[in-house]
Amino acid sequence: MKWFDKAKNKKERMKFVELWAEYVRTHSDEEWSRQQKIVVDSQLKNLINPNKKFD
Amino acid sequence: MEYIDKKTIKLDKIPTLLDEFVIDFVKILQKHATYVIVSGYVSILFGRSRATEDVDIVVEKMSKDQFYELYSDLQKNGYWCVNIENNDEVLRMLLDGFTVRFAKKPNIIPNVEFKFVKNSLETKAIKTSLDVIMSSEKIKISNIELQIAYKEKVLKSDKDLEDARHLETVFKDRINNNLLEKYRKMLE
Repeated sequence: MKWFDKAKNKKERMKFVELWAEYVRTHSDEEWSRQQKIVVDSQLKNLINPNKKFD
Repeated sequence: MEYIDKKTIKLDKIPTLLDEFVIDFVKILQKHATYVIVSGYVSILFGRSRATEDVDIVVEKMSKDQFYELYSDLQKNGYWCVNIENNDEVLRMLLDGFTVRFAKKPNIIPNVEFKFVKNSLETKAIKTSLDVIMSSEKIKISNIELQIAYKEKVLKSDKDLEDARHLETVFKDRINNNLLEKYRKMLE
């Protein structure tokens, strides 16, 4: 049994990249950046201090 | 996102912590040097849903005096060079073609991966840069066509291919396709 299909995962990731990029293209900066900020800031905080719990 | 003219884009985004870091660094850098931001941060600036630990900046070569004025200004504003301990070594490393990393004390990330121009492609990236106005500040980024082609043809990791696709989709109505193809062929 194949536990993880890397090629399929890659294809699905790329589909999502396109979907999100299309959202960015067709929505206001405020709308997409509000969502992006949640992802980017939390990733960055975890990189800076992986053991700390942030609000 | 609004094109003010062919070389200027205004972004009304809510800045991320990474955007704020870049704006803060560039405010100091631009007083001393000609630069361009390249690679992953360009995609993130325009909405890619990922962070990065480093922001790549290519800088035109500087004299010793110019560089140490910049370095001193960075230090005064709380930055430190995270990968070289000896201050005198920083410029020598840059002139030898290595990159040096600057972060805000006491952090190591995020950092700016700072390097001097070392080939014609990087010179082109500086000469054809775009201005992005965000939070009333201006930053210089590589032109979009060059970024897409470089990520597709040179870097080629999954992350880079996704960054390229993101930019190509976001800018699909604005991309100069002839220029993009030219860069793709050049970098193959």
